[in-house]
Amino acid sequence: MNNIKITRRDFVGKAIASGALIMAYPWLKVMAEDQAMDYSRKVKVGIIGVGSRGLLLLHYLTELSESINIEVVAVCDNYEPHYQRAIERTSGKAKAFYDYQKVIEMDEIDAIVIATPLFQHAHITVDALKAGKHVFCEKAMARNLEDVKRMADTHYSTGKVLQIGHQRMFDPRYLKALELVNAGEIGRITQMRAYWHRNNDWRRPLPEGKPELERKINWRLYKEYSCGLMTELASHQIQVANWLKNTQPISVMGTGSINYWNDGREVYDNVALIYSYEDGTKFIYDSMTSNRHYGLEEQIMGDKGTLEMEVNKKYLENPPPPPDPPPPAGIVQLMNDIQSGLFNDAIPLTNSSWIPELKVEGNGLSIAEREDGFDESKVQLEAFIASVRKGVPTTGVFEQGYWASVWTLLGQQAMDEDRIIILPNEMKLS
Amino acid sequence: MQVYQNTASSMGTRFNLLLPGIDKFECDQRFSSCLQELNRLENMLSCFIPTSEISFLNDQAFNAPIKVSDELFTILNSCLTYYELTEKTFDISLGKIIDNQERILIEEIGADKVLFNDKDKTVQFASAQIKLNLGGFGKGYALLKIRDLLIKLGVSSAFISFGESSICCIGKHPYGDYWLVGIQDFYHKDKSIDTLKLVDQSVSTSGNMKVNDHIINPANGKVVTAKKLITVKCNSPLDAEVLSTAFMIADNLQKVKILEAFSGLEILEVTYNNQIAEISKYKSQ
Repeated sequence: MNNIKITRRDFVGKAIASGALIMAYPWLKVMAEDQAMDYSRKVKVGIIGVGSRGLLLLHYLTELSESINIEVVAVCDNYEPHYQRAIERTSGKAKAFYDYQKVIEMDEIDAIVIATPLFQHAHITVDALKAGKHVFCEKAMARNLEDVKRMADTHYSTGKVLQIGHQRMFDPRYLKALELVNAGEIGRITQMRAYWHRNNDWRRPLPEGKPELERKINWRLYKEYSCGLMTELASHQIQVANWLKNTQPISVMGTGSINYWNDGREVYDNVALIYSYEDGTKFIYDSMTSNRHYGLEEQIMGDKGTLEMEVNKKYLENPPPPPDPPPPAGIVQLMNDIQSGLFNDAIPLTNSSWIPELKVEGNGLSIAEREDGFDESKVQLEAFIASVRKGVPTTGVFEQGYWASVWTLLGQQAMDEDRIIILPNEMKLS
Repeated sequence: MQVYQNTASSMGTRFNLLLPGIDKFECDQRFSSCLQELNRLENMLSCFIPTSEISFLNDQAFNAPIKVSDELFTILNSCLTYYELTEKTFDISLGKIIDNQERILIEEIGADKVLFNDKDKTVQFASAQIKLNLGGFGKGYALLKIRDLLIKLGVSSAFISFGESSICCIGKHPYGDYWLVGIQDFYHKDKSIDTLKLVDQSVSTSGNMKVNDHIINPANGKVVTAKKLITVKCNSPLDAEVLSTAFMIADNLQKVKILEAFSGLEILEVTYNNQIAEISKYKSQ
């Protein structure tokens, strides 16, 4: 159980081997069933929004087309260069549209993948679900709480799959971390910290001579379309915190400002928040764009140990004693001699060649082995397609995205209004 | 003949006990008595254990005289005696230099700045820069205690090793007239430089051949750079441990004085120049 080694095709088999994994992660169960599924029917997918993230998802879906029998039959983007690029990448085989409604209207399509700018997620998702399509939507869910709730309500009322792109749910490091938490290995979680630090302006260059495209290209920097660091980065780590804590916060406080990139942007370039859970646990979060030294991490602290999933490390407060060392070679020889009634070789005197394993513990232990080529962003699409084949949502998957988005937006609200925010009644799930 | 061996990790290295001709149950009990004793000593003497008696002393003894256990008082007194008998080459007060702390003046350290009050059994540091590190003493002292313990438990033949660099023998090899220990060439492991015959004797080796082996010269606070291995054979495992370090540091005159101060020493010095071993042997009366 110490080292789960997971490759993409191995993922399901290994997960099955560990009963605990299946119990903890229902979305793995659907992939397990995926193995016994009938692959003869081709699942047809349309992608709406083929910018940088959408292009990557298109790439994964194309890679998966044979192994899980899917086809991207439609691509859609209302920005001409992206539209043209999507046609190229699908070799003209997929139908191309500027208007997402046209994709949703295609009868043959089973599933829609949405990777548009944040503020367009909600109405496209709702329209697609209502049209009977299953939806994979990139995180965060929406720019405001009303839209998030509307997406949830439509998901529940239509019974169609809605999966939000939180790929850490499919990352072996995080899955193993959750297993360790559930097994009590790090004790009671009493504090969590996470951060995501970058040192760049987050701007994308505009095509020459087209300043009017600023808000379309750099939508992440404007409050009308985005909550900046919160929706783009923090939402991932808020999902992880809630997931490992196995509950939602009860309140959030925070502060943010533009203290470095005074370039006309409206979203904060640095944020600091504290989420509180009912048992008193705090989740302390910060993100910034003027220093990248500390990078990104989630630190899960319990009274018996600490997990750092990004670097795949586990530290125990009271590490078990190291195993007994092997006897030195010279001693083994001496023992053999005496047992055989011999007096032969001299026992070599050396400066110890054996070093105790204490230092390994100081540097932490691996949470899970990760194989080259494993890509959780791709695996999450496999899981999505498995749910689509099954035709019903997998328990717990959507809710991870829902609570991550809700508390992301409540965090933004806490900073904007400079007060402690609790969960509004209307956001509760019945 | 039956033979028992067991290995455990202790004092930052591996401890090995080999007992010929005694049944396993009895030996297991003896081995576990040894580990208990080693554990006790480590919790008293290790400056890597924050709750050890020596760590408490290091934290507090500059501020006020600190009452220590009788055993630690005796140990620290004997360290001072070794400091004097080794011409100040064996010095337990260099902890802060070993920890790589900068800006420590060599005048502010030295075992003579550890002050003893025999009546109250208290110890005080005359300088804030003193940190005691018993690294070059602990294994020898532990071997001494383990040897005495095993003899008390009726053992008449044993081979006791700490990290294969500090060895104490009880009696002799069951099929020989002595226990035989070999010294290999550091760069040519198949090449033997010398062998040592041990009967109720001990041997200890110190060196700076490996990257992490740092030996500090108390006279200047600097790391000994000349590449060498010192092996000391004598009756006491503690003398062997202390003197193997002292001889790494000692100049020619100091070596003479050390050989005068201790009886029954056999010392082998292997100095390396361009991986060629140059051997010197010393003996005391």
